[in-house]
Amino acid sequence: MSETLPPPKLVLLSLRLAPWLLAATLALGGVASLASLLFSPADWRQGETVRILYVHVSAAWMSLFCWLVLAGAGVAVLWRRCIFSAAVFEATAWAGFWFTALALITGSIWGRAIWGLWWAWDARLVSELILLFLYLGALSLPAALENRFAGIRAASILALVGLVHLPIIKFSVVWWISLHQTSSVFARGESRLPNEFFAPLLLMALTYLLLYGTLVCLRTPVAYQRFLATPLVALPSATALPPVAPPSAAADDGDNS
Amino acid sequence: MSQEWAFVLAAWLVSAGVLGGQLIVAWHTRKTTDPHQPTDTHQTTNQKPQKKHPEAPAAKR
Repeated sequence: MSETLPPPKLVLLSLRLAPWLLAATLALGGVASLASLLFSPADWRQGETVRILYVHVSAAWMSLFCWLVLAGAGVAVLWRRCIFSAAVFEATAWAGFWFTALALITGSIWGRAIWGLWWAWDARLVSELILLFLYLGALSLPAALENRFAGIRAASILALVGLVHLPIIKFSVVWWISLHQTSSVFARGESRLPNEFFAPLLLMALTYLLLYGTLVCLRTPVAYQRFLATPLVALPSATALPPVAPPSAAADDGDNS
Repeated sequence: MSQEWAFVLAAWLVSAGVLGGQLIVAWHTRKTTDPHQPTDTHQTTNQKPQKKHPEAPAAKR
């Protein structure tokens, strides 16, 4: 009864794009690393440790960006029941989890260098840690439920609810007294990040964005195939299925029930 | 090497390790995936799973 079809165009496209994105990531990553470690000046107050900025801020930005993508994919999963979006959701959740973990780890190292503390119960740090737990939830739900697609639908609701947390992270340094500095990249006046720091940061952020694209292009086809290989959710049927069993067997089944 | 550079290198090495590891794992997984694997067109999210009929009723006949 089953026919075979080639995989959707988007899956093939992501497979074809992946090597090119990987090459671009490595090339731009090399340039960004040189600009950050060699050509960028030391800060008059923080000294050489300011170079942690480039990996820390890029990871933190990507942790927020990935959650936005997660919510977008979640809408497509809930609204259209699209398996490709579910695969993108899973790939993005993995990437976002690691970006968030990196933001916390590099921030901890930077905090030890500047504040003398590996960790503080600070609003920005705690809110970023909560984001990590949210990513863990989004990753765990599909694995926890027997039906993987039903798990992704539950995780999509979590992604939409979790959107509320993004402004809390962003404005945590404004709303609460914080060890963490306020935003300086897009600030105006004297507190604005100087261009000699901003240019390498922009290059590194673009590298991270390309890296995210590469990871999604590599992981989405794998997740897509896994979704097709596992039994999907039983929802109210939109299209009638052709009967699998012969009519006599179906009648017998009715008698037995 | 100053202590400042030690912190910088630690942060950069952790970043490179985590992100590089992610890329290697994803690339390896992708290489073991066959994009032309046949897909079952009857598996869509809107369909109820097929109930398997036991052999017993058929044997009754």
